[in-house]
Amino acid sequence: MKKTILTYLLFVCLLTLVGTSVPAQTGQMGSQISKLRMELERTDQIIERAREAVRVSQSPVARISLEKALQLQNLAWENFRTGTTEGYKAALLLTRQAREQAQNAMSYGRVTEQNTDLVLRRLEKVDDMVDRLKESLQEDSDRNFQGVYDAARNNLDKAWEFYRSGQYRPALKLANQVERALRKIWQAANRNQRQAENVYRQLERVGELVESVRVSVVECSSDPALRSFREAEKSYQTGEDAAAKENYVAAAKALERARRLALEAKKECTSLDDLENRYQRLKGQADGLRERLGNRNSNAQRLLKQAYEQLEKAAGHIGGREVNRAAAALKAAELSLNQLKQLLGGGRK
Amino acid sequence: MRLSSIRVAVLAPLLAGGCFNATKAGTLDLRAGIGYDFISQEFFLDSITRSGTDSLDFALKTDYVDDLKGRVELTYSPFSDRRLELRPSYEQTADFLRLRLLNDFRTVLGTARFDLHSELEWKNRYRDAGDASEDYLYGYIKSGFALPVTGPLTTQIQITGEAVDFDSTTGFSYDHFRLGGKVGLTAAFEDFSGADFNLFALARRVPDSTALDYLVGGAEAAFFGFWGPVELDLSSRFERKDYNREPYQDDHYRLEFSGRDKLHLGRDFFFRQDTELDLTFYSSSDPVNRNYGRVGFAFLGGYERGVLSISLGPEFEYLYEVEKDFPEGEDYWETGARIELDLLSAAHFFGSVDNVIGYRDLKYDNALQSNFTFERLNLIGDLRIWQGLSVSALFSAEWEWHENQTENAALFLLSSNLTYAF
Repeated sequence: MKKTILTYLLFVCLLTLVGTSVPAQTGQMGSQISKLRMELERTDQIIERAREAVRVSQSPVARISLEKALQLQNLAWENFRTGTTEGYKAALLLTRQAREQAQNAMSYGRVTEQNTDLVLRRLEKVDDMVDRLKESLQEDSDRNFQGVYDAARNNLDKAWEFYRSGQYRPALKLANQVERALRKIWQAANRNQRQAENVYRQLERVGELVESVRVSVVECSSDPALRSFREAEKSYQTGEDAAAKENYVAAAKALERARRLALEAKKECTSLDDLENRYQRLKGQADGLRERLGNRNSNAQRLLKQAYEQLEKAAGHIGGREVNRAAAALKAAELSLNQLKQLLGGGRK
Repeated sequence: MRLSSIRVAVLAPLLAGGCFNATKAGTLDLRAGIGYDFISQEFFLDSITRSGTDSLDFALKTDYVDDLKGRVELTYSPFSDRRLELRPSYEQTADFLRLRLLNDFRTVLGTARFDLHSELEWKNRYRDAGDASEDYLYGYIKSGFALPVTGPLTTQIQITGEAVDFDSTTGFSYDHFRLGGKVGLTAAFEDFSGADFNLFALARRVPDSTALDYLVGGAEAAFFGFWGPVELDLSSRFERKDYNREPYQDDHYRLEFSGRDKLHLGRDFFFRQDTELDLTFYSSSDPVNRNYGRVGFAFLGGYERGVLSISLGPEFEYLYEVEKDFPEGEDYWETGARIELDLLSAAHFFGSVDNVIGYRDLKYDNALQSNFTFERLNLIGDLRIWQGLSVSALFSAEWEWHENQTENAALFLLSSNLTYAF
């Protein structure tokens, strides 16, 4: 009886022990399963976020990564539903891999290069460029880059279509291409603008020069100066016409010629004035030396005579507007007078 | 079937051209031609790691556009000063047709200038079923008013509106309206320089999804002009964009700067610097986006004679992303060598080639992202062949050769046209 009671008590204790240990074990297992379920659900949430990122980006890399994440997550749930320890272990491993892939997908999905806002902003920016450019092309609608402009404009339309259909990468690339084309057109237009700026400045400066030379030419009545001036006027007119037709290279060349010719005319007249002054100065020197000389020194007399002869020639050439000959005669007269001064001891050493 | 459609596409504009040839009056211009567009992207990826023997092979190639097209465009200006211009056009490919009407109106009211530009476009896929986004009606209107204030200053006001109505809508293709405006000052100087400053606001409304609505506002400034031997082209913009999403998803502040300066060195040589800066700051609650900054420079030395210009030099780009939940970002340093050749003759030929070869060094390498060498080629050409006949082409290609070869990619964009202006 005693043995029976002891056996019974042992059985009860065993049952109690088993009874208490089984729920404990079940509770621990249940907690782990619950945690695993939460992990799987957390991965589901991450995949949902990644799905949105991939949707807006249309990135192939992100899409592949997301597909991998979905496959792995499905496998994880399948393993979880087997309810076996091995299944739980595999589910944990797979859901972690799925999460990693989803995180990658999200990372690539919001890749800055393909970000929907960036693409939209780029398209708007290129739209603005089109507006800026359109006005300058309207003024010069016959420019050759009109064809490129039209092609760029059409591609921008296509880029917007891609954008509106959620294909952001080709939209961005097309927008980049259009931006580059517009920049080139802009560059060409700017080059024309810069040339225009230079030509109009040149027109202004050369115009002022031509007007000032006109006065000198009228006063000096030199044929060579007049010929140069008339050529300068013609070139200026050619430049003005070319500028009006926006042929700035031809305009710049013609204006440069006009400037050179106007300066030649001016030099011609200015030289005659100078020669006249120089003649008067040398004539004064010769007269002064003649008084000092009297009748002595035949060598000195000869030099003075030479100086007067050259001065006479110079006066003739100045009267005939022959600048070079007048200058040569004056130079010869100056040499004779210098020699004479040395002979008389009053000149330079 | 395809051939007959192409034939129609080719012949229609030519026949139309013949019909309209007689109308070559000063106020009526006709342009007709054919063109070919091709846009393709190749992206290969296989043997994704972690998949072991079950690895999936991917070979992705997408031809977005591969169309031969015919196009007719009429420009009608009822007034000799071209204050009003109407430009209807018709374009057809083997699968699509597109009708478009552009309108430009400008006039002077006292000392003020008034401009109105509008577009109406209908695109339709008439053969086979396609994406929902391929059939739509699109309208755009922009109106500007400029009033001289004092000296070189002019005040300007601009209003824009846009609406898209798709035949059927999807998550990507949704009907929407955009309405915006700008107010600011513009200055035009005697040396052809110009400057702008504007405040702007723009709102988008998507009837089917309020989460896609947004409001954007900010300020922009630009200067283009000359400063001694230096040419400057500078622009900057600051904006705040606010989506109707919680919690602040995609809302951001953005600061952009773009600058190009060219220094003339003597008669034939020049130095050019290009600068691009983009700083974007998202809300700290944004679940997806990270703050980032991108800065790019190019330094080019060149020779310029007449219409010919050649330049070369290095270029750099740096992208920095502020880390958030995930440690791996897209941060990179990009270094390249650029060469540009331009033949910018306004008379008969307009051409440009630029090519960049470089290397992108990513801060974070992983299974789907590795460093790569790249080449980016761009060609632009427009040649007047004979009288009104001209051919033009835009071509861009990009190649990426990754350290992990499975990531190699290529992209091609071609747009070409043969046009006759009657």
